[in-house]
Amino acid sequence: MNVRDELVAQIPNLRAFAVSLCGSSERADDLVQEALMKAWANIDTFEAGTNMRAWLFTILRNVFYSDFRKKRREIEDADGRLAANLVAPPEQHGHVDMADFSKALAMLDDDQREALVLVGASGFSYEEAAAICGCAVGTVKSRVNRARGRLAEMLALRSVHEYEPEAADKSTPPLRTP
Amino acid sequence: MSGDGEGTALTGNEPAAIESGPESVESIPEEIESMIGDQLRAFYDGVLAEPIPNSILELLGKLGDIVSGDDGDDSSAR
Repeated sequence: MNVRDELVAQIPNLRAFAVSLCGSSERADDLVQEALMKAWANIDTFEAGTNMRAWLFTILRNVFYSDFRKKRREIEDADGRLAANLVAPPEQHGHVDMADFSKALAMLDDDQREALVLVGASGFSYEEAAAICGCAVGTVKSRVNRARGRLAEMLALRSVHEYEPEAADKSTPPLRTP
Repeated sequence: MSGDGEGTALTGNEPAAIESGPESVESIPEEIESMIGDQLRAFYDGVLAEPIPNSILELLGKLGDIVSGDDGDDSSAR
């Protein structure tokens, strides 16, 4: 597979990462196109045999932070849509509507969302994600955990144990001393 | 602990800000973690399954035209 074919093969993954960052398919496609143009212009700097996907994700991420993120914030501030659509608690334990999940994902801080997506969906190791994000491995781990925590909070996800009646706590009466 | 640049060969205009040190890490129950993981993968896989938009295919065609001709496989030269 030559470099171009390798690049083309990564486009679906790039799009998925871009949608996660942008929260909209149209803007994600613009972001992918810009990243591809940049990648193509710098293809000489890619070392054959190294991780093409990580290289492309790094480029796309940089384009996002240097240009797209600002635009995204302007759009959000203008219509207040995301904040207005706060997620309702799941009707049934364990079930989360995909639309609600997407909204909650979009409401995460950018750095938390990208860490979660890189590790939890794109298949990168913590080390690779750290290299892509330009931060320490521990920072990626922390961001992933914070992202999960915030999602659980926004989606009102609770452990099965938390659904048990309070009686569970009172089932063991305190010992009486004679 | 310090941010030690992770010496991989990424050259996509690396980010300017290098952060160091883990922030405080709180863990959530495994059950919730796996619920979130499943949702995230379903979300991501949904996009993966979409066809590549024409606008991107057209761009690839144009980029290919720019350098087309004799560089069908020039990776070995780099």
